[in-house]
Parts: sequence; C-alpha cells; structure tokens
Amino acid sequence: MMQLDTQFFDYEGPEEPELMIPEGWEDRAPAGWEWETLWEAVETGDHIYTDERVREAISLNIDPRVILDDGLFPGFNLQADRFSAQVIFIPEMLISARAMKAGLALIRPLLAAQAEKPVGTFVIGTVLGDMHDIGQSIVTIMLENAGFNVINLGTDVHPDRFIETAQKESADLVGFSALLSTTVYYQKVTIEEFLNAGHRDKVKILVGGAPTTQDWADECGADGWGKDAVDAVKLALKLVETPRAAWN
Amino acid sequence: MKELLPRERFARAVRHEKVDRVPLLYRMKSEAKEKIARVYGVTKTGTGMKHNPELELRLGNDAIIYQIGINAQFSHRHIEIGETWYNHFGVGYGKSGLQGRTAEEHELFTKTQEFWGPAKVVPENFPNHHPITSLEELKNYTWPDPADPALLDPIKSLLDEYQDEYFIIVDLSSTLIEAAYAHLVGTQNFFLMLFDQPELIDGVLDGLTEYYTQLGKNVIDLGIDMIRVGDDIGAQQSMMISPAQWRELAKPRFQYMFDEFRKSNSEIFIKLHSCGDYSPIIGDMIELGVDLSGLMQPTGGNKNQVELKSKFGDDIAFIGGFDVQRLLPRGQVEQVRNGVCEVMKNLATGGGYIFSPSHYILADVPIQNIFTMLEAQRDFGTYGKYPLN
Repeated sequence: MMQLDTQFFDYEGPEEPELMIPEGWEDRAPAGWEWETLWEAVETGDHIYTDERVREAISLNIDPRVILDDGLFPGFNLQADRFSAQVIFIPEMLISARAMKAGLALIRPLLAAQAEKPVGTFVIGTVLGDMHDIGQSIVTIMLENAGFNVINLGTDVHPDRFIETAQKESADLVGFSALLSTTVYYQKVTIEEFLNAGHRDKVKILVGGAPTTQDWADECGADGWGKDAVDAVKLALKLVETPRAAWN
Repeated sequence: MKELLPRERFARAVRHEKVDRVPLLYRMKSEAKEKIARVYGVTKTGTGMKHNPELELRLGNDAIIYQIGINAQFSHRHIEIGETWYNHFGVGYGKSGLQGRTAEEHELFTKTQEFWGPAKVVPENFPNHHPITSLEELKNYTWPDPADPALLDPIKSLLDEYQDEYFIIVDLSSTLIEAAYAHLVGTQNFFLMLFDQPELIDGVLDGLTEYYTQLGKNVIDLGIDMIRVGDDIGAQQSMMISPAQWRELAKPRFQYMFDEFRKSNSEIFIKLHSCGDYSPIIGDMIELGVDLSGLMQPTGGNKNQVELKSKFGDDIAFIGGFDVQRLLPRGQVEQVRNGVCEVMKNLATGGGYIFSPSHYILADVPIQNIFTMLEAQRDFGTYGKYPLN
C-alpha cells in the first residue's frame, strides 16, 4: 500500500479564514453584554440558540442594525470565507445560513420599521428544462442574508416567467442557474428574451452553475458570473450599485 | 503487439498491464443514442434496463456496461407531462421542462427549443417525491428485493451473448450518499439532517449498504467481470461534503460492501465513480482496493491530470477525463481533437487508463464532434505511436 501524502490536497489559500471581530462592539452594546456565543452559534449552525439570543438582544433594545452587524454577521462571514476557501462544505454552510436566517427573520421587520430598504430585489431561478436547485437555494439564502429581497422562482423556469416577475417586482438583478450542459443554453435564450422584451437594460443579469464560466457569461451576454455562492453575493452587491434604466 | 480481444484489453488496462491500444467505454443517454444510431443505421437503441449495446460496440467499446441501480429506470424511461412515476424504491419522478404548462405555454417552449436547432434542450426526468423524510417513514420503509429476477435475468443473457469477447460491467449507481440525497431523502433535507437527525441518515445509508451489498453479490455470482459503484459526491469546485465527513459516512460502508463483493469473487474488479471533483478521496479509493476510478471530469481538483496521474496512477487505473461540459458539446472540431490528444498524453501514458468522455454523451453534442472524438481516439490512443510512444 502506498504512503499517502495527506498534505497534497490540503487548503493552500493565503491563510485559514479567521473570525473578524467588529471593532468597538462593546460601545454599541449594554454593559455586560457579549456576542461571542452568538458568533459561535451562527458559525456552528445552532439556529435555536441564535433565535433565543437575538430575541434577548431585541428585548434589551439593542439596535437591530447593531444586532445584525455585530451579532450575526461575524460568524456567518467566517463560514462564507471558509466555504469559499473549501475549508467547509455544503452541509456546514447550509446550517450556518439557516441560523443566520433565523436571526434575520426577527430583525428584518425592525429594520423595515426604521425605513431600512433591502439592498435590492433579486429574481433567481433554475432555467427551463433543469430541475437542479441545491446551488441556487444556497445562493438565495446567502443573498437574503446579505440584505437582498429575493424572489426564488424555483426550477424549470420559463423565460417569460423570469421577465414577468422581474417586471412586476421591479427587479434590480436577475440570476439564472443551470447544472446541465444541455440546459445552460437557456441562460442565453432567457437573456435574449429579456432583450426582445425591451427589458435588458433594466436589470443586471448573473449566471452560475456547474457548466458555466466567465467565458460563457461573456458569450451569453450576462453581466457577471459567480464561481460559487459567496462569489455570487459579492458580485451582486457590486452590480446593484451600477446604473440601470428604470422600470416604469 | 498483436491485437487483443476487447475483454483482454480492458482487463489488462485495469491491471496496468501492456495493451495494444487504450480501451474505450462510451455511454449515451437515449436522445444522443438515437441521434448517433441514425448515422450508423442501428435500430436497436435501448438504454437503461433495456440497454442494447450494438451501437456502443460499433463505436469501439471494449466493455458492455449494464445499469441496474436506482438510476437505471427513471432517467431512461418516458414519463408523461404531469405524471409522477414511482420506482421500486418508492421514489417518485416527474418530467422537467413542461411541468404543469398549458398548451399555449407548451407551444412557447417548443418555439424556444427551435432556437438551438438540433442541440435541443431535452426535458429531463427528475425525482420529485422522496419516501424517507422522517424516522417514522424509515421504520416503515420496505427495501426492494436484491434478488429481483427483473434485475438479474437480463444480465444472464448479456453474459451468454457477449462475455466471450467483451468485458462485462454491471453498474449499481447511484449507490450510497447520492442514492440517499438525490432519491430517498432529498438533497437539502439530506444535508440538514446530517446535523438535525444523524440517526435518520445513518439508517438510510445502512439500508442502502445492505441492499446494494446483496444486489452486488448476486450480480457477481452470475459471473460478471467488474462491478461499478456510482456515488456522486463531487461538486464543480470541490466535494459536496468534506473529505472527513465522507470518510466517516461512506468509507466504512464501502469497505464492508467491497469486502463482501470480494468474498463472492476475490478477483472481481471494482470501479468507483463520482461526478465532479472527488480528487481529495482518490487516496481513500486506493485504500479501499478500488481498481478503477472515474470519470474524472476535469473540474476543481481533478483539473491537474498530470499531477493526479503521477501521484496515484500506479495504484489505481483511471477512466474518463475528457470534458463533457464544454469541450465535447461546444468545442470546435480542432479543439476536440487536441483535447483527446491532451487527455491521452496526461492519463494514458504508462497504461492503466480507459478512454471515455467524463459522463454520458448527451443530445447537445454535435455529430461532427462525436466523429472527431472517435477519429482522434484512434489516432492518439495506440501504444507505440504519438503521443503514447
């Protein structure tokens, strides 16, 4: 039996991602308050403790924006960085995202009451003919956690449904997922249908999924490509800032 | 070297022995098979449980691969729009592309299909009902019969008709983790239950291990040459679950399964397949005594074929490695030709390799690319000639 070199495929990124502790968080919390257990809960995907701790923070009148930035994001961002660096994988990312979502569900109404608007509206779905949804489900949760209002149309979505929904919701961004080499063409078809309908300049379009690359994104006329869910969210946050024609 | 019989060529390559040329194994989904069959005038084009190998043998396959696992039926059969079809595992399958659409919407669908001419989007069958989502359902679940004559009888006829000349592989895919997430439990459910209800996942994986071990032993007893275990745990950029978690969930179960297979026939060849990137566990495959590893889709960590070959190539044979996501369906003829040459150089040098696209050939592959691949594999797949001299 050969001797296995366990170092061969180990993580080779710059450094293992670390928890980024928000600077000056003590000044924004009541005396004696700690966030560490919540960071850890989101990191390890303990959605029950996350729910309890966020309720506690709300009952102490901690500002919802502070709960989000100081309490929820550190653990979640750590996992997102680890996911990108392939230190953790889909199951660990999913449970962390679920915990984040539990906290966010309590905070979102409070943010809305303070007139905080979503970062943008994002319509997402898997293109016509394709039933694979694990990738776009993860992207959806990550986008919601980043503050987007996300409308997920599910799988096997006809171009017309993308267009109707984008129009109805005045979407800022639209994202198409595909797993199969046979269905990835529908990313291009759907983009062409946006053009034909006269709406192409009103949205930024992202594509993703196994058979996609930056070259494919360029070829099919998309505005961007995410290599993974974390990348897609970073790109969405950038694209939502770029100018677009207005929906009437 | 004198010309070998296809079955010898395949077996020798898996054993890293000298061969005249690189053995071949093409697989096609039904739409692609019908398209290619028309060119050859072949009329028997059955796939899945109705597999007829005539066309594949015309293309030069050295082995016949027959699928009987959970994937064998749903993906090859006709399912009506709106119909849910249940297999012997109690998993329900529907058809994508047209689900719940009106006639008008159907027409729109057809219109958009025409956009791509012959490279049509083919509606796929897909699991839409998962039978085990709670401990209660697991407790009441009846596993299928691993001695089902409907599964075993067609293999006997294949052996009688072809084994003198060809290498016979039976495909149990999908077998373990994939069978659990994609079919029995549901993907997102599966990943969450790894944490929420690990005992449910353990129960499902134990049941699958027991079923497939028995089924595999029954098949091996018929006298086949190789058993193929397919279990997709690779995503595009990395594995879906961590290598550590795979070692906990899958490796001991495969160890048990393969030990049992070898009790039925100590000489049985074992192939372990995953789609996507599974490079972190190739060393584990070697520890499990796997003979053939594939299909090496060049994604993520599988990209560096030269490094993988030099690291693991002496201890395990490889199959596949020819890109089916972009190169085969969308490459220009010259790119396809160069691509075949590159894969031969990377993986066939020194032997221990079987040429194959890294997945089924699908309907989106232009016919000229198929012929280019066939020609290039003849030109570049002979030992003693460029690039294998």
